Amino acid sequence: MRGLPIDAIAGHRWLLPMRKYVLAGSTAVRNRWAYRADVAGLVFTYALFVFVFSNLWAVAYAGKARLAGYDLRQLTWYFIVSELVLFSMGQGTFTALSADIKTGQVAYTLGRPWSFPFKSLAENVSCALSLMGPFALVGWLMGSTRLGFWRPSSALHALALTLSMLLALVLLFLCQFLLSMTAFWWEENTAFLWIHQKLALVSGTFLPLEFFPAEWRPWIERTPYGWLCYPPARLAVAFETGQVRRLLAGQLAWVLGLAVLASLVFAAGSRRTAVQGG
Amino acid sequence: MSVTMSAIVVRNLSKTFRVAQQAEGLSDRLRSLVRPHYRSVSAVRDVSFAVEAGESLAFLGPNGAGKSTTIKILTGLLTPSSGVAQVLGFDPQKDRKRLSFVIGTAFGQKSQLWYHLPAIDSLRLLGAVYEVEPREHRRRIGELTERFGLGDLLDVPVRKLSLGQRIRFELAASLLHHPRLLFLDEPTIGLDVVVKRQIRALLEEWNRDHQVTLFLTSHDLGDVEKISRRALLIHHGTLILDQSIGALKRLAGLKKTVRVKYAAPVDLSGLVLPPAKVGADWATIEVDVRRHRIPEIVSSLAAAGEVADITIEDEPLEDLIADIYRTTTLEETHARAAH
Amino acid sequence: MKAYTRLLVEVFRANLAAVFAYRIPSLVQVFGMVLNNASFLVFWAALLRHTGTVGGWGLRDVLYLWALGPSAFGLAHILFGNARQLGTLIVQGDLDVYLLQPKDPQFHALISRTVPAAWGDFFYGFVLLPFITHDPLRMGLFAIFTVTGALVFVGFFSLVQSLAFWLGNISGLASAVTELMLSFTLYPEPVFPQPMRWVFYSLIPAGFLAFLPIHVLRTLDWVWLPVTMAAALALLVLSAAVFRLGLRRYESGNAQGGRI
Repeated sequence: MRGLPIDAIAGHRWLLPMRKYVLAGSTAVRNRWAYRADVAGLVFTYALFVFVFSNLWAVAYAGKARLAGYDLRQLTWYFIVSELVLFSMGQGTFTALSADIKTGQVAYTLGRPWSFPFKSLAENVSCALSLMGPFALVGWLMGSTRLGFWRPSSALHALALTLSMLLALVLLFLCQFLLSMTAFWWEENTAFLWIHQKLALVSGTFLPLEFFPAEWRPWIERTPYGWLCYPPARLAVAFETGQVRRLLAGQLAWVLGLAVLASLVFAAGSRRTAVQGG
Repeated sequence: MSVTMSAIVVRNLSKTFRVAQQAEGLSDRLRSLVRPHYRSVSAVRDVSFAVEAGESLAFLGPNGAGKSTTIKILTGLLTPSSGVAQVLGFDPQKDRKRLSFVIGTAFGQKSQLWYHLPAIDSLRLLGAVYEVEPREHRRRIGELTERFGLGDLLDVPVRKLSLGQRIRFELAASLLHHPRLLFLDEPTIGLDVVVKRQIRALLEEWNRDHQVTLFLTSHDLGDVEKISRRALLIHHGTLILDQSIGALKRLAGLKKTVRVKYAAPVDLSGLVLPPAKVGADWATIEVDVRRHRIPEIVSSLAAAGEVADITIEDEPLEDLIADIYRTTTLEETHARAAH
Repeated sequence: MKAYTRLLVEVFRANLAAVFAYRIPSLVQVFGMVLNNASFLVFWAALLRHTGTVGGWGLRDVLYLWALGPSAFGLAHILFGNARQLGTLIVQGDLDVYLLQPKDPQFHALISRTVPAAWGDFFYGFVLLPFITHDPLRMGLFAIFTVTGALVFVGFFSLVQSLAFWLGNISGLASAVTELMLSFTLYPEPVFPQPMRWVFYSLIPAGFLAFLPIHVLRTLDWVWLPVTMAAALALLVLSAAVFRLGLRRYESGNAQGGRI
């Protein structure tokens, strides 16, 4: 195998296990980008959404300075960032994992010396990160031409934003991972994905949580949906150091919680497969 | 008084395709976008034949010989480059809709049945497509399914049927509107011997009892021998043979294989015709009856020792036809077409 | 005409049977589509709570959009479920089955499928209607516009799909066009800048689907009703003409993909 950058530091034996996950990630990215027309189509759809919503907000703000505490610039950039996160992740995780479970491919990989959930995490988050590039570029160009140049206000801002986006991607992955686990028990499980997607759309993608009645907010935050697109988009447009800790901590808590849940459900599901046979 | 009308008339039929050249390399590919290069592929060259009503004909040829192209022209799916095709009095391209009322098609690759539904649903649908009066249509479904042994299977989803059952349904479906001419493409492919016999018998009977003209393509010469009475051979787009099956069999009878087994080892060095294969107590002799007489050969074999067993077989039709394909070169077919 | 009615009825029966054969997955799709549409309404309610109106369009107008769009799209894909599959049929040679039968191949191919999710869209639209208006005149108009809208969808989509006769695999182009069509029918007209609105009455005929009908529903400006119907009819005629042209190319055997 060709030398990887990780090999430069992997003189240490404990890093050796990581190598296979890095490889899984890079293979998945290469695979994804083999279908360039597919990626182009997604970028087109993203650009269309950004176009439509930029116009929508401009019309909605006619004569008003602020809505729910956001001005026009903020709300437009909010949308660009939140959709960026969603589009980068896509729904490939759920689709591929459900198919793998249904065809018994999962049982096949269980016999291999790596953790299936970690492998899946490496593959899907790597793909999402690689896709973020073109989406972010398109979104940033469209937003900047319309509203003026945007950049992080400080190094801390940039760092917080990056962390929050990464956590959002991982959280999105975990949601789809958990949902795809339903394939162990139900043949037709696409409904679960749809419900999840709609909840995600509604709670913080199109509109920040501030647009909803104040009484709803605590309830939304008791679900992962308050922590998917809202934190990174909010941080992008309204950076307050006080909020950073709260938002990042909330995302991290949910990532850890869902990670534990995911491994439990996965163990239960694979036991079931082992008993029943693929 | 019966006047047999030609079911199919084909005169000087030709079809040439323009195929865009695939470019290699970026600069060629860009150039080909602006000015594409085409090469001509001649699929059918100057083919002429006629089929009478009620005939049962086999259309043979190796893959790529022009069989499917010809059939597509006859059924109206393709327009010929030149020449005339007339099917049941119709121009297949101009009158495709009217023609489709009176022809039936059963193509192995394309199914007329809906995969997830019971066959009866597809059959009923076809009644609407071919505008058969509902009561008459129901009667025909009953008649066909009974004759084809499908009565109990009407309510079974098509995806659950065995291949043989599905093909019988396809054939029944193609006959529902009582066509006068049936185009069949590889009807027995993939079937076991028992089912093949069933289907050949059904087709042969339908042709006999209902005077439905059969136009069959098949790589299985068992189909050809059992169903058809005439064979057309096409190769490199040209017709190289147009014979009755009887004549072909007679041709095959010109080469016989004699296999003889003796009770004890014998010396066969003195035979009139040296054997093709020989063992201590057996021999295989290829006889061209135009050059040697079978009685002579048999006598000389009997004289060599005590014969335990002897078989005399005609050349298999398959070998005969394969030989014809092989030996008729491209140049010959072109020369033939040039006449 | 009678023969084609019988064909439509029989094919539709077969379509229903096929959907019924897989009723759980079909129901899931219906449910999913209803959920999809409902979630957008949540968004609009939340937004309008803060803005009152958007470009002069209030909640009732947005509801009209989200009732008419889905019900027209739904009706189109219930009856003509292959509207967006025609390109695939062409490229894979699956058109031959229809060409060999004595019925118009475009019509026959289009009706030979129903999309389960489309039923969700269709019902959603009509269930939403009583929440928008109780006026029988407007409800009647809504029904008419659902039909004209469905015809616009079918005509336009099958026209785009027919380009496969010349261009081969057009799935990329087709999905882009679908996205555009849906985007332009589900957002209020004022959202789109004035200079680009001519597009909705030409390249992407969403205007005849949503904006003109909604204008009539809001203001009862009658003259636009026959215009909408004429546009739907024109699209159908155009799509049939393009298909027929493409078929001639298909029959020459020189269509993209080189089927010999």
